[in-house]
Amino acid sequence: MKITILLAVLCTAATLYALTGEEILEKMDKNRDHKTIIYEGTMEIHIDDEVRTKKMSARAMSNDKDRAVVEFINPEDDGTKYLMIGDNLWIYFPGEEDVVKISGHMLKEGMMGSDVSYEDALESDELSDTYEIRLIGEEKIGEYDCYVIELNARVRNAPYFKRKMWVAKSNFVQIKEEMYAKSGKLLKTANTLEIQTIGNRDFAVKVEMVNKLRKNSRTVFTMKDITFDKPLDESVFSMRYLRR
Amino acid sequence: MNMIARIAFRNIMRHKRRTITSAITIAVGIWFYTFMDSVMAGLDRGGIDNMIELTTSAVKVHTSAYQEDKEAFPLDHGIRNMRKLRKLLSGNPRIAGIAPRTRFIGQLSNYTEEIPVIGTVIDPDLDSSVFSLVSYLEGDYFSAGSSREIILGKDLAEEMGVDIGGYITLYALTRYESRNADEFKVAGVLKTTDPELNRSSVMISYAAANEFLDLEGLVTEANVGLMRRVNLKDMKNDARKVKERIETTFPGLEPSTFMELAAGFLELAKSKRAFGVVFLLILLVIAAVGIFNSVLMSVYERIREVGVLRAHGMKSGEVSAMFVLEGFMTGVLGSIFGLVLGIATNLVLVTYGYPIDKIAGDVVVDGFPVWGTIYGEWNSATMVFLFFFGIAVATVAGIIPARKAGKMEVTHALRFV
Repeated sequence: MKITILLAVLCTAATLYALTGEEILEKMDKNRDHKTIIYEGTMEIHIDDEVRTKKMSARAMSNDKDRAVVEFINPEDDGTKYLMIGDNLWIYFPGEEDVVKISGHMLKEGMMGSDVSYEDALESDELSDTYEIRLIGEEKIGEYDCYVIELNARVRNAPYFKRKMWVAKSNFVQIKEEMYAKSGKLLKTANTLEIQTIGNRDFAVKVEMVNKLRKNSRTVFTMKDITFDKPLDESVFSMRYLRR
Repeated sequence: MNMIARIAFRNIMRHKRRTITSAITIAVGIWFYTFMDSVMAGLDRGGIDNMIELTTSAVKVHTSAYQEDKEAFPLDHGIRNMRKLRKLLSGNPRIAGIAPRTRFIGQLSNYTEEIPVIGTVIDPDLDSSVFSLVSYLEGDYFSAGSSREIILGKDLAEEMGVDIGGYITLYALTRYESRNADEFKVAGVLKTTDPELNRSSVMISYAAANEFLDLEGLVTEANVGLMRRVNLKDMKNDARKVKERIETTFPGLEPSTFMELAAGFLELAKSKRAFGVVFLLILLVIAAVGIFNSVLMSVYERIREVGVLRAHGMKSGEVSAMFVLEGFMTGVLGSIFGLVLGIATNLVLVTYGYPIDKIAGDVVVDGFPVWGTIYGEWNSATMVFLFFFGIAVATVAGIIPARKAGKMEVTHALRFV
């Protein structure tokens, strides 16, 4: 009898302290939250047997607005720069010496021919405004015990109708994500391939995005030389810098 | 003068064979020009008709806001007053139908390849009243109530490795810019005269799009079809009137006639026509030489007759006038004959047409292939011109030998062999 009561109390306590989907998402965001970030990135675009590599140097700042400047340094795209301020994106093409604003449906296109859309890259963390978040279970992905949360679109303009995220219980790093269309068809998956401990946080430094509408099409994004919260000159996030 | 005219008339009646030969030469020239002019106009018209029936329609209507952003094929700025537009045009007996369409950007995927496409949402029932896609369709049209069927251009279907009855994945952004993708069954494939349609056509019904694209019946394009006119000029006038009517009644709508939508094609056709006219003019010159020669021969054959007339006291001016009149009368006869032949042939061309693909195989007019039945066109200005041209050539052909004959010494003319 005592054992039964004890188990009941423990279960109640466990239920009381169980995390909700929103809380898991908050913790996940908090883990990757930063004032500034500087890194060198490599994007490997795999289409069938062909691999195209894009190298970039990126700086980003989040205060009142998310801002980022990405400069491509691989020979084919050398000098191409992206400026992202909030939901706006401008691209500077050095050959034409011209800046093009990317808007509307163009934001849904793959960045530099990759499987990562501009919108995926620009997405702010206010997922709770767009999605109804629900914890639907737990699952083990590789070595990680994960919470499985489901995000269902609350609004009709949500980029994806449904998303499923696997978040590691131990460090609140997203291990896997599936993105679905309104029809229920799986459009993309994102898999975390490598996690590094930087300072006091665990951070996904290698992520693979797989296009499910095309066989053998995936993009692997790797970050290195990552520095968090180093003060940055705000003038970097300007059109003037973009054209320089 | 009356006497000279009488003699001239008797002469042409007396020399029946020569008169008929000369008149036939004139008639054949006029008939051939009329025929070729009609065939060439028909070929151009065939290209224009195909374009109207496959892509442009006679008048295409968008909202002004849509026009500003039309390159992006936005799923907003729809035509809200479709019913009023339909009502406005319903009284016009020249309107064949009004078909709504909505264009969208998407991607087709067979999981091996992804191809960007411009999709078109159509109303299967109304679309046929304006466009003739069904005539070019292999397989089936959209079945009633089915929401996951697609029609593809034949070349596109081949490129994607899918056939009628097979499935293909269509990816697109909904009206609210959320991503959507689903499997569609290929109901039919289009093999039209327009290679662009064959390469890129992707069509789904409003029943499918309302669900797939969250379209809620949004119509971004109203296509007005007009009854076919024998003459393109009349068709252009009809289109212009419809455009003016829409512009006056709905200031927020921007109608474009097929002349504006296919300005490049029409311009090309026009310049090609100019080359065609040069070619036909060369034909006319050849015909004129024939006519000239025929009249000239008839004068020289009758030099001794001139001597007799002069011996009877006819003045040289009167002899010249007689020959000129004979030429004129032959010209009138030949022109009437040629015109009647031309009109009869043209009537057949205009009414029954000619199956161009069976006669000549694949014909391309200014980059736009033409097939099916091509109909002739009436060109009254050309016919009037040819009528007077035949008379003028025959008359002028008579002047020089007539003068020569008139100036000839009587004794010399009588001994002329």
